Amino acid sequence: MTKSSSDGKGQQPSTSSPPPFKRQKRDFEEADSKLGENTSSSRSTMTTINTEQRSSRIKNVFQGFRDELDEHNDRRERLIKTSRDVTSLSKKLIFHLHRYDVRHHDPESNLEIDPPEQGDQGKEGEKEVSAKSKNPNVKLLREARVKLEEVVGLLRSAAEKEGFSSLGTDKIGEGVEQEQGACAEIPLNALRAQRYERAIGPGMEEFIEALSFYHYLRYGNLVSLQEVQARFRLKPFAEGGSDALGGQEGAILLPIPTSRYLLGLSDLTGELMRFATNAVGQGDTGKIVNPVLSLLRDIRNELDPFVPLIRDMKKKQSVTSQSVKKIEDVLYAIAVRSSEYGSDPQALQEMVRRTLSAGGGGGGREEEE
Amino acid sequence: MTTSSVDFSSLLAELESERALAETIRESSKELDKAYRSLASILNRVHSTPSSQIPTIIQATLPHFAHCRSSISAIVQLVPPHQYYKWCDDWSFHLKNTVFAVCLTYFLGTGFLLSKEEVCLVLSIDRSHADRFQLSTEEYLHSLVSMINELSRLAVNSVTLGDFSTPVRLSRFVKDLHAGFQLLNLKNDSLRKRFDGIKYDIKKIEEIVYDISLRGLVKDVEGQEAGVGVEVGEEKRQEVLALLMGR
Repeated sequence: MTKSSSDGKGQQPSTSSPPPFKRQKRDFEEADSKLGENTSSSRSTMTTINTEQRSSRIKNVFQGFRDELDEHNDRRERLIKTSRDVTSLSKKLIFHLHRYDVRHHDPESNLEIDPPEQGDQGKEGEKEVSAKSKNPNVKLLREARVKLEEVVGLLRSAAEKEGFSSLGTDKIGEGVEQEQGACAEIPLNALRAQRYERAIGPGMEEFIEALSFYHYLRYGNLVSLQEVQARFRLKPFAEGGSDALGGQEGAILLPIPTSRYLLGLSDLTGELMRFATNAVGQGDTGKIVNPVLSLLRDIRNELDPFVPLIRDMKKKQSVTSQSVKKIEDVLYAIAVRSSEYGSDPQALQEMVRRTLSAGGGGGGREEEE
Repeated sequence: MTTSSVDFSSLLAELESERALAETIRESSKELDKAYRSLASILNRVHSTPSSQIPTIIQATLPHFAHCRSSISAIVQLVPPHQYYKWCDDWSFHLKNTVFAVCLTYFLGTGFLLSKEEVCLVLSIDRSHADRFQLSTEEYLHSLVSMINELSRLAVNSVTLGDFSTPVRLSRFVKDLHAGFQLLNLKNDSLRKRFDGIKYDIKKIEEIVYDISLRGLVKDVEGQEAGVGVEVGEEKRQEVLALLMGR
């Protein structure tokens, strides 16, 4: 483009200079004599300045990009690490919860694992030994709660450190300036939580699985998304505390995406299946296993419409279906055999073992004793 | 333990409305794609047109940049506040293409690199709606890689058209950009893979420059006003930018 182009009718800008094609043809005729000549010696000063200016501008711009991308990648990696730590702690917690002793199953005492201390110091309350806290499950749930708080703390501190919090003064990486009014701090940090959702998400799912298992053992129902979210508000929510409604308010520190919540619950079904079959193995003939089965069926039915909406849900649903089927097989075995053996715990245990090892398929087959 | 009735209906309604919105946004970003296709077909002429005709090409692109701006503002209207990262994948591909067209057009007009901020000016991507629509650095860099790919093709075709000074300028420009990319610590992602491909474009242009300088066809490159990618002065650059912005 040359000078004349900007006045709107600049379609023929280079009429003043000879057409390049012709000139280059002439150049070609002189080619031999010019071979190897250093072209840079004849640079016009103006263009040289422009070219150098361009090079240094590009360099500066890319240095800015480097810092921005490094910051982004570092943050992402830190969060992936957090996600892994959360996953492993959650798995340990789930393992711990599977030691729940169904022979001492008592929903009443489970609800009251923390009345004396009314807070987070689980140790102190243990000294006040009441009849209820002699129940080994109360101790187990108290320990579980301490572990749970640890995971929550890990997620919360990661969210705080990486500036997800609406209190953070940090702005998002692109150097977007704080806008007056409508576009203040909170939105920009909410953006960051979305941006790194994929980094922290897997750990969050595992955590929701552990939390919902704990919640089920303690309260006998499914934890709601609001209850999960309540743990990740700026003002932390104290479980069992009096301000049950307090958890509904306040700014969100770490948003829990709906899809992660549902995927976490889908994973819960596997744990519940293990819990139910263990219970049968320990002598339960329906008090535990029946509600678990109906809950599993409910979860499966309710999650079904989400299959096209959430990635990975299809696979998880088929796992849930298998879990349901396993419990159904166990219950079938109990029904068939209890007429023979009554509810002899050893026989039941053996029955569960065989039913499960038969891959869920041959659960009802006669076995030689 | 009591049997709990499970009720996810409100969550289902939430995700279903998000799905519907995703479809609307995708539909709307097709409009951006349309605008890009028109631009691409005009910009393709650069390979078969003498460099003196480049201003005509730039003029022809201008209405389509207006189309890009209107498509983008339509998308901005659709995205709920503070949800940029939730939806950005739905238009990212089309945005990269569009930014490539903007950067290439500006380079053809000025011989300079259009900065990310200036691209935002051309496409009216405003900071006031940064919570809904942004041009990410990664997207911008992807567009630059596309431009480098295109310039190596241009180097070939300019020689065919008898323009021997253009490859020399393209070589310098592309090397500057490559040096910039080398400053970045790229992770093992798609940008990294495309960056690794740049070296073949550089090599291609270098071979062309070698071929023509060996035969003495390169002469007095800097003094020439003609050809593609002639570096113009500050004033002229502002003019071109204003043109692209539709002012």
